[in-house]
Amino acid sequence: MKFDTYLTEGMQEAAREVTPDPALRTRVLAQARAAKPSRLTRRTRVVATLAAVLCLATGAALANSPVVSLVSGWMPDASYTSIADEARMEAKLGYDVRLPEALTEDFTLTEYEVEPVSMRDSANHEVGSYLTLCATYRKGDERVYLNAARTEDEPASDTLSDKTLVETREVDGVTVTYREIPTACLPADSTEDFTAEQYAAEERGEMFLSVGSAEYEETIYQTAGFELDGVAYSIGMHDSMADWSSEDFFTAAQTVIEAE
Amino acid sequence: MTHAMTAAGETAPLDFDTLFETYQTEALRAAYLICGNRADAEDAVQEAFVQCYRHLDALRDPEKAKAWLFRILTRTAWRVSGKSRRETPVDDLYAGCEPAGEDAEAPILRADRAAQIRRALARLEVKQRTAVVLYYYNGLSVRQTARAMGCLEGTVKSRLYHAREKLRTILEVDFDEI
Repeated sequence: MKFDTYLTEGMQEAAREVTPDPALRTRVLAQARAAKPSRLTRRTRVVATLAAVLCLATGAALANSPVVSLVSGWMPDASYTSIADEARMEAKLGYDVRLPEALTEDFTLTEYEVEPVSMRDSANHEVGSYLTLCATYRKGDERVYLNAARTEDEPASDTLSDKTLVETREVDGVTVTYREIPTACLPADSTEDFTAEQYAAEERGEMFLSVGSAEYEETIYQTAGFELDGVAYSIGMHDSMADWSSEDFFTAAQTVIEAE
Repeated sequence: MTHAMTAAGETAPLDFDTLFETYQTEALRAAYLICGNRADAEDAVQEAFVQCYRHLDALRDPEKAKAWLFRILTRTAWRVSGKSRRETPVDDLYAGCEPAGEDAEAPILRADRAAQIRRALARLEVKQRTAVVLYYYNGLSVRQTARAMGCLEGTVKSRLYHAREKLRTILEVDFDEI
């Protein structure tokens, strides 16, 4: 028998007993359709006002192309688990960011990625793209996300309602805005729909609607955002992910601002 | 929606369900052979298909769906198995994967070969193992394997060569072809 054949048939036999769990598809769809909390703030700006025209400031060919959606790249450009890789990450990202090893005493950096974001027009044609940082901080099962994007790259519009704004505070000379955004989520296979009031609230930028939870749930998306040295940072999570107060967010923001 | 050519030459949409149903078993088994355990393989496959679902529009040529999927799967498998690799001794890779209560009429030689292959794969460095799985098990070309692994074709050839040499030594079996 030829060695190649031996290897091929041997691996087929070695994996023969491994069969997919019947629930795999359900889990995939539930996870895929769930809103990515780290993107919630920027996505909400655009989703909440699909009728709005957002003009990019970059490139003549794009100047008249309205951006109506932001789509995360199909896979991260790069992933890291060690703070020692920060320089490599910044080289990949193309700009410097502040990435602390911990946001608070207990929430430490576990992984971070450089993710491409595609800007699409109403016909779903890509009209531009840019790279962002998405970092995850964990304490046991709890997690919080830190996102960063160069302000000159992102569509310049914020359609979130002032009703979501809880407090604005100066931290080390930087304006930090803390928001609490009501969210509602339906199961992927639900036959129910959101109410007219919920759709209207989303349109006004007062809440965010998504699909993918195990059962209908309502949460509060908490986020603190600020701009520093040409980079927009946001620290965010659903209130089910960790038990943080607004003070925790301002403390975490200060940690990022003071990071090298 | 990405479109694919039907047998009749007409354009048909390549929807996620078709992609999933076509490749879920092959993807899971490949991930299992790369990761060395079912739990990591399931995590890797789930994450890979989630990425596929979210970014199916990025697949411009539906004929490259398999290579595209396995590129995603390779990266997620490395990421998932990398987190557990430090805690899993080589000898424990594929541990507990022998069929339980094996039928007395089962082909003993095939089962024995499968066990030998698992033990041999466990002793390969993960990127050599990945090259072997993608090339021999999934039937990808050298070029497709290189794209899936994010390396040059020459690197794939080198990894396959060294993996084969190591597997020959480990398996200690005579073959008709050298």
